[in-house]
Amino acid sequence: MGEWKIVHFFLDPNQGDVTRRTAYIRYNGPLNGAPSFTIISNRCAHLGCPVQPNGPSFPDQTKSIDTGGGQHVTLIKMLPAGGFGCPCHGGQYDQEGNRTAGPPVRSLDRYEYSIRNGHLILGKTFSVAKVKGSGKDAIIYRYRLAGPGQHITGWEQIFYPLQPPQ
Amino acid sequence: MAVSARTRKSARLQRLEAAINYPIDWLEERSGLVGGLRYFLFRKVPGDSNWFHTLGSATLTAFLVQATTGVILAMYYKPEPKTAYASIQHITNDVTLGWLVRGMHKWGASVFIILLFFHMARVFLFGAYKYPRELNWIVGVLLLVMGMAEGFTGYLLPWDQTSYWATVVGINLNGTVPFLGPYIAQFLRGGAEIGPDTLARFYSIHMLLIPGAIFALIGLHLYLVVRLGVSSPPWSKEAAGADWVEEQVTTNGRSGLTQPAARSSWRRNGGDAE
Repeated sequence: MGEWKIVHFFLDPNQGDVTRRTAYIRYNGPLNGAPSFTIISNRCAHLGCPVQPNGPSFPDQTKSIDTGGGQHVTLIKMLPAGGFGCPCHGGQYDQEGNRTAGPPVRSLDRYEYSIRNGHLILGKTFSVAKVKGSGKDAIIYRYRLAGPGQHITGWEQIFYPLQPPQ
Repeated sequence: MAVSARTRKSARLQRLEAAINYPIDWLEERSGLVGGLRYFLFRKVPGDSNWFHTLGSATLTAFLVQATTGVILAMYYKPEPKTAYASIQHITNDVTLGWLVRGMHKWGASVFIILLFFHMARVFLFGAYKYPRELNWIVGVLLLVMGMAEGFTGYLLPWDQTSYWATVVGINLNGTVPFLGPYIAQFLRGGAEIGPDTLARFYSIHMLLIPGAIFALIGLHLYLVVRLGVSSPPWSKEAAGADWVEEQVTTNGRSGLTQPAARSSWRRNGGDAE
């Protein structure tokens, strides 16, 4: 519990490397009888660079799983003690993905998830204005997915009234 | 003897000349292109034009180098995520002089943009953008935008980490444009995510759409240069402005061949120089 993993996977295994995505996943313990996870997208909320954990990762504790259909999932243990940071323009986030410094306009995006037959299944991504609290008790201010750098709250949100169909 | 030999040779020379002239005359009679070329090459320019006036030609040359090396690179480049980087490595390491052609295209891109800015600075500091050349300044600004767009789309093509993430940032930067941003980003990506379509799209824009627009705009740019004439430097002793039109009337002007156009537009603007 409370342990973080760097998780690499493919959005579309047929298209290969170009659809490789990374999520940072933490197991939060059970909530209402089901396991609870924090699943943060590594896409920076500033301009979309890949945020990195501010802390050590342990490549020697890597687990690779072939889930069929060409999908290949890699899990690497990590310890993001200082949250997450972006190498491009210096955006900083805490462990819940809340912006703590730098140019990002909101918190890190998160993944929907479900649990089927004991497997964690990632769903769509959604945008997050902020997160209050932490872990399984966190209150997530959830919005539909917006591009990096686009405001979803505050007066600036009037600049982005429409999103193209995905 | 010598004289008769010379006249014989002269007759041969005449036949040779006629043989050379025949196709040229044939072309001229049907197109007027030869006269047009002569007009272009022998038009009048200010006597005190200087090396700064060559920056436009230098920029054009840099663009032609980009076009030529780009055509060669396109023969070997494969715009597919799985093959793009490998094909670049193939060009650099295996193809004869591929490293040179790719290097010329890569560094030439910067040379083109730098010369473009020097040319722009020259036109600005000489005041050469002023009446009647405002439209040519506007065309030049469009060429600058096109050049920048070439840089943006070309940067993705090597498909390495730098180019990929720089393009991610560039597309998302466009995505923050108020109201239209999300749609611009969607168009540039060719979908919700960067993928194979993005690379093919950038390649197509880089080597078909924008170069075509640049060729057309350069044609318009040069047409306006020839029509309006080259401007004198600001320290020129020859008079400029209203007198410039008068000088043209006396056919002593720096760009006498464009006299009717300049005169009539001056009249339309209610000029009082006459």
